Amino acid sequence: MRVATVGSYLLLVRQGGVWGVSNETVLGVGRQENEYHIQILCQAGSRQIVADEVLGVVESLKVWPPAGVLQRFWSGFPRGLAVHGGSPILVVDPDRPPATLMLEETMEEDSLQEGEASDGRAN
Amino acid sequence: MDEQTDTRQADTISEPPGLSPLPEADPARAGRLSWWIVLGLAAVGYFLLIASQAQGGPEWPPLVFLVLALGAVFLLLPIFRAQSKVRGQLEESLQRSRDVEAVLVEALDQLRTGDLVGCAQQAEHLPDRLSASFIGASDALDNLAQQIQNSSIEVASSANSVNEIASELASGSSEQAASVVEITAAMEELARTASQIADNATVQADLAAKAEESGNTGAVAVEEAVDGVEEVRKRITGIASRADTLGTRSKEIYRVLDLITEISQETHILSLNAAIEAAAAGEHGRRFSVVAEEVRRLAQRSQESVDSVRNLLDEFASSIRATVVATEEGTKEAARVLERARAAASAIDELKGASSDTARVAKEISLATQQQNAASDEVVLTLKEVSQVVQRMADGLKQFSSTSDRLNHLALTIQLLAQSFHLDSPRSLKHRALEWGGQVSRRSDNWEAVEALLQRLLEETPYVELAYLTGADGKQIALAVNNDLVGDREVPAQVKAGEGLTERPWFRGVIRERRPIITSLYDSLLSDELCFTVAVPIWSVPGDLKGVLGFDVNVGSWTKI
Repeated sequence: MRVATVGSYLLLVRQGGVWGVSNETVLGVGRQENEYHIQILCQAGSRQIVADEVLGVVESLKVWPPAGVLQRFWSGFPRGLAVHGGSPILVVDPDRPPATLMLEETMEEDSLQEGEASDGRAN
Repeated sequence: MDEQTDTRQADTISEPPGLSPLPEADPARAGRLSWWIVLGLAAVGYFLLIASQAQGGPEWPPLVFLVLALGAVFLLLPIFRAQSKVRGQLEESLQRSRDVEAVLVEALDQLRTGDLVGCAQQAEHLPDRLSASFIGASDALDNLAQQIQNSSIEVASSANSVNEIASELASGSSEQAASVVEITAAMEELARTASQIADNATVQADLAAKAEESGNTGAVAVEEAVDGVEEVRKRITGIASRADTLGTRSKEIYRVLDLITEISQETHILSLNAAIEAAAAGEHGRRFSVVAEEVRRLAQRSQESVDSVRNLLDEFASSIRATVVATEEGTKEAARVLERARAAASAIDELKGASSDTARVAKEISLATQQQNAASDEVVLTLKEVSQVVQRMADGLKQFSSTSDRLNHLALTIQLLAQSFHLDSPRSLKHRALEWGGQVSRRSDNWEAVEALLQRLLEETPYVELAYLTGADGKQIALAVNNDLVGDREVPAQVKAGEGLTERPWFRGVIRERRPIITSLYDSLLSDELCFTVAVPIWSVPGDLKGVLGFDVNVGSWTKI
């Protein structure tokens, strides 16, 4: 049985979709050119994700965890799903943000790290 | 052959009025008369003697008287013999004189009829001295007649030439008069045209003057228009410059807006971060979240204001650009208009110059056409006078032609009168007719050859158009036509058939007078021209008329020889 959690999330828009990031993981928001760069905490330390627009902070957002079938078939699935203002929100896992929110440099570094990890695991 | 009568009436010798005939001389009667005178004187003497004796006078014995009577008889006897001799001689002389008179009468008769040749032949039978004198007079008359004939021929020829010239002159003068009339009419038309041209030229001169004036006005207007367009161009250029300045200022405003946008974005970032920190602070950050929210609204309003100002500025910039484009196009158009206006000004300057020249030329043309008009009027007047003169000359020439016609006719009449003389000359028609008659007479036993003879004679005589021979009964024997004279004309049927010749004046004249005759003038049936007939009798033996030879003389050809 899935239980919803309520928390404070930072809502941002990327490629037409609304994403949510736990406010506790957000270190700061910056702007470069026409994009917003959000620094977030993760197990690897911190990373940046990119957004087209930052909607703001929602303090009491009810987030439902995704169903098991989604986890199986949706790689990079979100941490949870929410609804705010009539729009669906995908809550991002800071450790595995979707490629949509990833910066290109960060994606290359992650791919290298995953490759090393897989090599290590292979080894 | 014609229907007119011979004008020469020669049936009888006409005695000059006032002269009685000469008494006839009778010598026998004179002798008898002498004897009666003597006897009468003797008887008177005897009775006087008896009476004297009765009255007591001396007594003379009758014997004395008888002696005296016998003496007188013997005395008178030779006288009577001489008288008888003289009477005989006188009779002889009278007879000779009668003979001479007869010859003289015959010669004078020949002279009367104009036959000078016959007259001279008769005069040869006169006594020597009389013959010589008569022949001399006949020769003198012959020479005179020949001179008259020759002169009349020349006069007739000259009159004919004068008539032809007069006719040509009259014709030419009439044509000249007609031409002058046409020229006068043409000149009048030209004068009218010149007058119209003069009027038109005057109007053109006025119009040209007005055009020049309009040109001047137009030039001034164009100059003002050019100045105006130049002013407009300058103003448009000024507007464009100010538009550029506004464009530059708007760019600065855009930069400011960008800065404000950046500030509002930074403020927005700041508010986001503040909101994040406020959310992270939980309850403690609730007031800070309000501040962050306000800051976010501020940033949002700033951004909205910037957007609004940017929109306005965009509109303003668009208007500015449109204005700049419009001013640029206006500037170009103004430049084009200015160029056109300057071209128009230049053209108007040229037009003004041309109008001025046109006005001047039009005025000159007007003056010239007015002078031409005046000259045309003078020419028309002169031509009218010339026309009158030519008309008078034509009338005069017509009269001259009429006079020359009469002169020609008179010359022809004189020529015909001169031809009434039979002269020993080839120009004498009667002489030629007698020659022809002699040749025809020699062929009287072979009439078939006469036609060929006549044809040959016609070829030698270019002024004779027709020759014919008839018998004494009036029947036509031969006919010859001068084809060189009559050409291709058809010989009339009645001429070919020789119908009614006995009624022709030439036939009747010859039959009546027994000598060559010349008819009066008539129109030929063959050539439709004026002609006359010369006819002569043809004798087989003297006194035996065998036929009549006639030939028709074409006056036109005859007078040209």
